[in-house]
Amino acid sequence: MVKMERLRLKAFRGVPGELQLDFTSPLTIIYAPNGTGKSSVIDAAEWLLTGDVKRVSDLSKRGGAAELRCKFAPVESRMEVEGWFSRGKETFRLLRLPEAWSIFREGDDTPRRTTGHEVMGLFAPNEFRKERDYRVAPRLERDWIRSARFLTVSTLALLVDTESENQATREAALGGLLGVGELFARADKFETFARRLNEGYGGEEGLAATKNELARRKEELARLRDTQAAAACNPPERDERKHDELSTLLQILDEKEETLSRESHFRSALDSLFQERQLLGLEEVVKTIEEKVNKIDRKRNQALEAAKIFREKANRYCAEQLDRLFDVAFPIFSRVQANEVFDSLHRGPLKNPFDWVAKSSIYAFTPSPHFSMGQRQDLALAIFLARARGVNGTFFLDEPVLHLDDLNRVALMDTFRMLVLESGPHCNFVMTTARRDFVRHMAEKFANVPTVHGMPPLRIYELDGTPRDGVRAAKEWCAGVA
Amino acid sequence: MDSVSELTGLIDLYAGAVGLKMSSPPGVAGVEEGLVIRWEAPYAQLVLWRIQSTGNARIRGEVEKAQEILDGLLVSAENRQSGVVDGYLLLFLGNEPDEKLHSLIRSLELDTNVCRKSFIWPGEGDTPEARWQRLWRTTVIGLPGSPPPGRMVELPELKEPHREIWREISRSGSANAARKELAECRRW
Repeated sequence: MVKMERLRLKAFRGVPGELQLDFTSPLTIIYAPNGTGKSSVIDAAEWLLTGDVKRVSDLSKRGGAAELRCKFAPVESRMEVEGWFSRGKETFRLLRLPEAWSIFREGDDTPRRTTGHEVMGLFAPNEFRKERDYRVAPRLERDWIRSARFLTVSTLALLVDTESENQATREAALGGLLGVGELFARADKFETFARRLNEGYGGEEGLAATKNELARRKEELARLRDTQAAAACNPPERDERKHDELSTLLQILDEKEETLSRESHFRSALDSLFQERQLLGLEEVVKTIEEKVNKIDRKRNQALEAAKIFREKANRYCAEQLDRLFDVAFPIFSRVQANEVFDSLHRGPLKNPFDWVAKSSIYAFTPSPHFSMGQRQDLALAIFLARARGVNGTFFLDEPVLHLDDLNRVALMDTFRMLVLESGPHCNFVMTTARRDFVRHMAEKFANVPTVHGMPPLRIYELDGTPRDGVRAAKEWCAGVA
Repeated sequence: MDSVSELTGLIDLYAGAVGLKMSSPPGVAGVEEGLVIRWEAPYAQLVLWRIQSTGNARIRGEVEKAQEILDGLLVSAENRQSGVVDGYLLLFLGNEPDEKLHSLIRSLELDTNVCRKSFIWPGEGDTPEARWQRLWRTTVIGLPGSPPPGRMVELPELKEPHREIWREISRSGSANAARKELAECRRW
């Protein structure tokens, strides 16, 4: 379990100069009015740990370091983020520059350049290193680190979203958190392939039209055969030699048609030959369409079968995990629901375990349509915190109390105090807020809390400034019994 | 084991995890023995109060009395040290309350005067944690253990036709692989 103990950022996002923050307390609160660079601290941690800031790369096509550098930073300032970490008794330092990471081991001042994969391997479970595909492993690790260690307003919404159109995004985030992100991603790719095949064929309608056309041609072919059989009492058989001969003959006939048609006694023979040609041509068309339709159909079904194999395995595993997770998430959720509405909380059916269901009396509710904004946020926080206790390490929460009412905000303060006391040696939390009353109240809550492993239980930073004028930690103080 | 002993054992376990220790003696001076059990830490006090009364008005009266006693305990604790000491009142009912009592419970649980109050009664379940589901509404105590982080689940074995499609998808992406497939069909 790796904990981040200190973070330094320079010329990054909304921080033009340098800002250094200490996270050695089990809980650190970064307070500042909006626009002072609170979220930049969280972004810096994400960039350091994963090499990317999702909310920026999602919004910007350019992405990359250019979007992350503070526009107000002096030209000569190099953008950098540095973190100090501990893992048991071992400590190390990571420096992230736009082009690379460097790692400094304890007692060794010579940095070693390292890769994103190696860095992410330090913060994600060892399991991910089993993945042999060099393209897949970093993605798995990045998804996991993001989902397990960072809670932002957008992931808050995502965690409790049950809208069907957002299923893929939800599966990516929660699947990543539970270690099955790649299974969902592969299922999704197979499904996209099948959908694109369908669309390329004009969708279901196009495929149906082709199939109708095929049926029509088959009928026509059968009719022609019947006519010919009735005339000759000898139905023609598909014969390659005969086909070639006829083709040659028909070619000659084509050329001589004008002359021949003048001769009435050739008329009936010609009709018969044309009929034969039509029959042969139709056979070709029918065969081609049939093969085409069958091939597309077969590929599409195979892709959907494969998607089902991946999805079923992922869902089964997630269902097991969620059953255990909800034994903890529901108690946290019910703590911050002073006005009790729900009796229990469950995962969704095996087909879609992320369709949460809350029960109240004899009724069942799903978060998206039935939960209030506050309840949704409470639930997302509960899931995140329940997970954090099992994962250990450092967790970043960007504005987690925005929508909470007074009573539930106090309950959440109690929950954080409980987490600090119970999991303090294993976890540390870094939280941002723009609410001064929340900070003041937290300081009161922690006033008589003893130190945790010799560290004050709560450290508070108050940031001041703007990206244009510079951002600094104007105040830093600790709460708790010294 | 009677239900109060089971509950007391459970509170002791999860209160202990956050530094709350059962006071010695466990009761409160001036209150009938066995009616109250108290856990304390420098930052908070938790009182388990066995409700003796029946009927809304009497229960409300008893809760007010319990609240007053806890208030006295908190004031004296705050006088001994600086800073706020939070109080939590856990109100024990022997059985699940009937519908008539529910609105009283709700209004008392939402009332933040002096301390957070929560009612508790035994329910059904295979484990003490499940039987005392309402205990988890007490915001000061610890929680049952969270499951360990999800391990990466191995990828399932695919048959050759599936693998063939996957090879094409990994080479050129889902959309391009489908486009290629369609183009091949159109060439016929």
